[in-house]
Amino acid sequence: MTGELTRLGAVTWLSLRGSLRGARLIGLAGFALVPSLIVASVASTHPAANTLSDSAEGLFAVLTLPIVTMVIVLVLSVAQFRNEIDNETLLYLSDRSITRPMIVIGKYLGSLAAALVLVVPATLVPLLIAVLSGGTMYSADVPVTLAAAAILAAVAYGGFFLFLGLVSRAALLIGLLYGFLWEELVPLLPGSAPRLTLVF
Amino acid sequence: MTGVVDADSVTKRYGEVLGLNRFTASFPSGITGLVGPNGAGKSTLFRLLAGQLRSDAGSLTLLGFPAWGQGEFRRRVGYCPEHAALFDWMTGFNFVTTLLRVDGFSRANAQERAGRAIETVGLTEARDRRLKAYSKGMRQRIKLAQCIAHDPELILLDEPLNGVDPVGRATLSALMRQLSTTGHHLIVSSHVLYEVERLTGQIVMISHGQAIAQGDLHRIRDLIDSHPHLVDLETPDPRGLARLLGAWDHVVSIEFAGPEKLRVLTRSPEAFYAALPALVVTENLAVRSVHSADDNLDAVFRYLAGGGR
Repeated sequence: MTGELTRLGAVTWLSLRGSLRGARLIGLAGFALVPSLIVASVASTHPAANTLSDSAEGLFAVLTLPIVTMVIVLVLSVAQFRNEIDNETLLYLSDRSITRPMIVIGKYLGSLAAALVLVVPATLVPLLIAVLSGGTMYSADVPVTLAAAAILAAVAYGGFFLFLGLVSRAALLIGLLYGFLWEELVPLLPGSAPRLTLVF
Repeated sequence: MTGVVDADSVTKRYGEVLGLNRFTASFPSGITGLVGPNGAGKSTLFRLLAGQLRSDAGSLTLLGFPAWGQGEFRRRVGYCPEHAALFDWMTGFNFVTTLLRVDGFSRANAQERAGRAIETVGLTEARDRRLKAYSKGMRQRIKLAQCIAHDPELILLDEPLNGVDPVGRATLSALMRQLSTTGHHLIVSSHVLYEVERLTGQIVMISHGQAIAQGDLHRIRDLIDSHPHLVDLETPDPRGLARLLGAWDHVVSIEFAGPEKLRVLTRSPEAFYAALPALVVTENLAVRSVHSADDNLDAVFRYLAGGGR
């Protein structure tokens, strides 16, 4: 059991550390900053206190969750297997005594942890900026609820996009189409159709 | 078959392309060379053995275990891939240590083994440098270090000398020989035949995904006799010599390869070399040199692969 945990931990660390580096990290971190920049921009126009806070909170539903979180998780998840298959670094793991399901779980956990490092601040920092810029104070359940929603979305998107990266070379494109068409349009349909989306 | 690796009619397809085509061979203990040109199927075989690919048909076992299998037996196998990139953001030491951790070794044990393996391949001074700063030869050596760090019984080396400088080649070759003397079994692939010849006399030849010959190198050399054999002769009178040689029934063709040079293809090199001295003496011919273009491993391979000419 200790050996299995050691193996899982090593793959998770490898995945996390490999995800958070280089140009990809800079690009995704910049993308994660967008909601904060928008709130800072709104704050600079000196709106009413409750308007500022409502804007920051409302931004989560229209931008942070469906776009920022989705894109960050997509980029990090599809890279886990697709890049390693293409440059053959996956060979270093596949010939080891770790089982294939453990490799998948380790990579999932690593990419999820990497995504949360970016997604959680992208969710909470705009609220903090709103409050520090004179917005009304949120009740404690607002940041907790939004952070929980972002984490759940990352968990769901992460599993789906990791699978996409495993089975398709066009995972990034398929993921973007899925995220921007399916996840955006299906919730607009009447009845129980919105249940078919991950974000629901 | 009871080798360290046994393949029985193994087939692997990539869509329409056959990577391996009913490949059948048994790799015995010690060092075995897997020899074939680029694209022959060597890397496909290694990837099947490493458990990255699954064969479409046939049976493939290593150390008695199915190649697609997983579990503790994998600790008894080390694999050094040919083209694989490295985790360039890591140091050499972290790279080897992390892969040992993936194999379930404790941190302290992994660090101790990594240090030892890196020392074995002669990279101790560079162990804390990032892999992206490694030269091609150093990258080959660190790949070898991760391959031997867990002290595997069976070591799979895919073109290990490719891109390594002459000094590095000598070092790695000596290391491979040393590993074989300490109870390790090695399968070493190469498309450069003389490299393998220097390591072992035990080879498996692969072409177009099939094992075309296997066994002792000298026995394989004997197979030449059943194939046309090329001989280059230098003489001031090529036309006269060609007229005489053309009368021999085992001579398949004669080519004027230069003003004073003949290239003769014979079905029976033994008969050719036996009769030539007598012909030279009786006809008073001036033959300045006789050179068998086939007297090396390359020629053996070309004959067996059937694509040499």
